[in-house]
Amino acid sequence: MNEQISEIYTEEFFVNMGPQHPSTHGVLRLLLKMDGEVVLDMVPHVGYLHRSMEKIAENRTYYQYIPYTDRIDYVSAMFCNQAFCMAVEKLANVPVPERAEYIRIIMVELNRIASHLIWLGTFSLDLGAITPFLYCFREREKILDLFEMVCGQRMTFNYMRVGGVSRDITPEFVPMAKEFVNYFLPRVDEYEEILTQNPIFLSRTKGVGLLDQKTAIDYGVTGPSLRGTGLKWDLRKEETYSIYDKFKFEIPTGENSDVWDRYIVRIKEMRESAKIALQALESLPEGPIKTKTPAVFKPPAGEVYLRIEAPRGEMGFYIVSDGSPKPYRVKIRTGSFSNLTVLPIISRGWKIADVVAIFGSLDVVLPEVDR
Amino acid sequence: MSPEEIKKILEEKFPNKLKEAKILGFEPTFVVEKDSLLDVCLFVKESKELSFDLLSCMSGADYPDRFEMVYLLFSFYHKHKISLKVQLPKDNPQVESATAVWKGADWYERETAELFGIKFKNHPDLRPLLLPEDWNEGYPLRKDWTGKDFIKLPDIK
Amino acid sequence: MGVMNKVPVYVEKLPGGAIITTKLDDVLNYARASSMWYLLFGLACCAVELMATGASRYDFDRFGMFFRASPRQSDLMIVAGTLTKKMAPRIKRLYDQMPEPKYVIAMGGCVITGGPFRYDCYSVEKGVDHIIPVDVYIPGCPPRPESLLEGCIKLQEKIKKQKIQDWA
Repeated sequence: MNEQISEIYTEEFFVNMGPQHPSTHGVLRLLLKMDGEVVLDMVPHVGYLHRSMEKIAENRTYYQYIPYTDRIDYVSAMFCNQAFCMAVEKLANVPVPERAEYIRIIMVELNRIASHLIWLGTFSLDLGAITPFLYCFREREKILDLFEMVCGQRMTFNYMRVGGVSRDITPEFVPMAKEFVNYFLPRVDEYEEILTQNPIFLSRTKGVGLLDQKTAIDYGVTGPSLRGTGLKWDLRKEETYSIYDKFKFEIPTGENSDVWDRYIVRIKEMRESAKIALQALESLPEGPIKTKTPAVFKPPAGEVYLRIEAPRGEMGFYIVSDGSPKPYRVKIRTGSFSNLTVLPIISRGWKIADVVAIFGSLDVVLPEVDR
Repeated sequence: MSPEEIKKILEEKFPNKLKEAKILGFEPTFVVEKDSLLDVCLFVKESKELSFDLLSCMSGADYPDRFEMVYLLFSFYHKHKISLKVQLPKDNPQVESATAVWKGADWYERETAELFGIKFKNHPDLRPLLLPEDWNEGYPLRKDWTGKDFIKLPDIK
Repeated sequence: MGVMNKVPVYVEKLPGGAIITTKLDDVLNYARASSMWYLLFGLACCAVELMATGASRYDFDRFGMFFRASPRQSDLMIVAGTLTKKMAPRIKRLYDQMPEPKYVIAMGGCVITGGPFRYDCYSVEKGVDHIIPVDVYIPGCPPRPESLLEGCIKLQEKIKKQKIQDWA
């Protein structure tokens, strides 16, 4: 009997979590080397959504490129618009009026809430909880109603312009937005009631996928994943671009840098964003919404790099201009690109079901990786 | 630390090897010679007064007479910034890989290598990242590239 | 479907036999149209609108449509998002894995003719009908959930006009 057991022969095998998979958010291919159910190594293959945004930029004018920036990260399109417009404004030294800055902040923080709601819905759907998915999309539809009232589109907005925003907000917007924020804050408590102290959720996420701070900084991880390791770092407080110094808000951090901590950081960020939006709505000044810029826009020759705090990390635009109406080179730095490089490191030794939870907690959208 | 102090420290350590340039938002900017790039990177990461530990972005660019690589660095400890540029010749662009210093440079270098054709020495694994596996039509992001399925936007008069 | 091939030929020769095949047509088409299970195949931006259509406000479940993760258990593929050259062989493989009868909806500008990525783009396949046959095209960037629901209803109307004799 003992000789029969010792002759059992095991070997490692390769499993392909292919481009079409319900849990990879987008088209990502993961090649896993497994021993039984335990993952020994992993290689991510990307590039299935490479749409050559950087080559397109060399043949469009600055104004014509703004709709393309929406499609870099369609879940949080206002951030991409804002980053590009701010980079061009810095290059050409164009001032932005105060009402436009306040409107930009309101739109951007509402979009941060919408992006975190999509993350929460799909993350809990991956772990098996279907109810939060329907609740989160119900809240998100209310935010999309507000966006549609202002710019006519639900998802890819094309709302910001170089020097301000394109349309003013209507008089019905402000009371409706305040009503939404007051309706939303108790809802976050509802989601926490379902998930945070749930024993199944805790056993799937506590202590799983540990990412220590030194590895995270070395690989270039930024955003809520870096705040989950305990580093209190947020570009809105440190570099105070735009008018973030006029608002009071906290920066949540985690302690153990596991999947549960990254979840808690994002839940708290939703509350903070709602508070910032409420403060901005209450102190909205009157005035113009856009400075006049020439129809054929030619910024001076030079280079600029500007970064903002997007929901998935830092988003930066590096623009080289040679004085002509079209940019010479545009390089887009996104948070998900660097966050995905750390996935093979933190999922070694865990089972394949944990890989789904770890990948969900890093909050990667594939068009940001592939551009 | 202010940009002038950083400039003084770097010029002391690497005399006659740095030139000035300007990238708005990430000053000071230095143009480094190709052969001393790895030494400069190791120094800025490991020295206690500078300690640039985050590689924020890395990009290539194609100019009419040269290629350029840009490294944008940030320090969490001291909260200051710096950017480094390297100029490479057009016919055989080669430079040392920065993965020995920051591991986050890995995927940026793979992307630049397949889109521009710049070679990185001592990179652990230089497979193509974004293009299809059977791509054999050249380096797309160069200015003089055309392909068979590439339709240019027509000018509207 | 070998038996179904021969049934209409023999049944119609009986007196009053044409009524049986018409009623059988109606029943089969009604059954197919009311319960389309679609393959979760979202590539890019239109996938988020597809998810929003399946969620609380615009519900897909009232049409009998429900998402399946595996192509072997689905009979509708909604291609939503930009198709790149790297992804094209995989979509052909998934289409081949679906069992007959199968239908394809092309959702969004990018899969119809390339959309905003038609010009100056070296890696996008300009239209999914170069690779697989398409039944319904839904334009928009991204199309609203109401447009997607209208596209599904048009597909249901197309199915209800099918005849048994056409199925090989």
